[in-house]
Amino acid sequence: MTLPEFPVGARPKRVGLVLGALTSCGFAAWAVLTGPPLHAPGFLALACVAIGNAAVLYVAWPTADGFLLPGRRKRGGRGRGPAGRGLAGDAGHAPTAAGRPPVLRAVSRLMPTEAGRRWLAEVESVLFETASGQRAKALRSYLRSAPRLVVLMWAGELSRRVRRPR
Amino acid sequence: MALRLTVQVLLVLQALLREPGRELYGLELSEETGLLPGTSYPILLRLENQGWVTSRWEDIDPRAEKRPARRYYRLTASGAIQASTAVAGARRPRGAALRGLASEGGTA
Repeated sequence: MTLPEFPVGARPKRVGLVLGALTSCGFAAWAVLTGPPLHAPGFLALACVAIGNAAVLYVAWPTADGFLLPGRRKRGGRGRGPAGRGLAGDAGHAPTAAGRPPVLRAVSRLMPTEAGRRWLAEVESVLFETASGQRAKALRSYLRSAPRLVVLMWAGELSRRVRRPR
Repeated sequence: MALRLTVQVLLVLQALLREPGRELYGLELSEETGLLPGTSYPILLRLENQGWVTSRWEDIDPRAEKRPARRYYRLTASGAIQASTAVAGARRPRGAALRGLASEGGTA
């Protein structure tokens, strides 16, 4: 099986995420079939396994898209994300979905929907114009700042929802 | 929440203040500040949440231009005033501290 081209070491990450997802699924199946692991109360242990498994799958799914199931890859950017949704609202657009490192899409899914779309579109726009030698560094900087950004965006989103009159 | 004026925030503000009416996009801003784009994005987001900065998507046809639209940022009128106050305020204590150090060095 040949993998499509992805920039800046995305392939090992993809393979790692897919293997992580498969391992977590296997562990979840094993936990369900053999009973509670790690001497924890059964319900708690199974809940932890289920939540962990769901989290791993949530992050790994966009990465696995088009890898485990090649027919599912959506050509022409009509999938989730700004490229697929056109210029709706403030989301912007980025016609570079074909060359997008899948990890970006995974990260954007951790953010509130609109903010995630905007972030993804902006990252793609900047990476598109960044010199190829600097692109990996720029991408790493976006990924490094992503956890703080996710917290910042959700904090803003929650405070907006709280303040919104009913 | 009050904006923390870190060195990186001040660099972004300085870049935007150079020509307050001018719009800068992410890559341009990171070139002017020397910050990586991943560092300047959260700063711009916070500045925008505080109302110091406003942003818009470039209005182009990406297929015709053969590149994605850029997100342009510029200071708002009130943001420009607050930013220049913040930058000036940040310069003063540092200058005073340096003068203090210089005078200590001179007397030693």
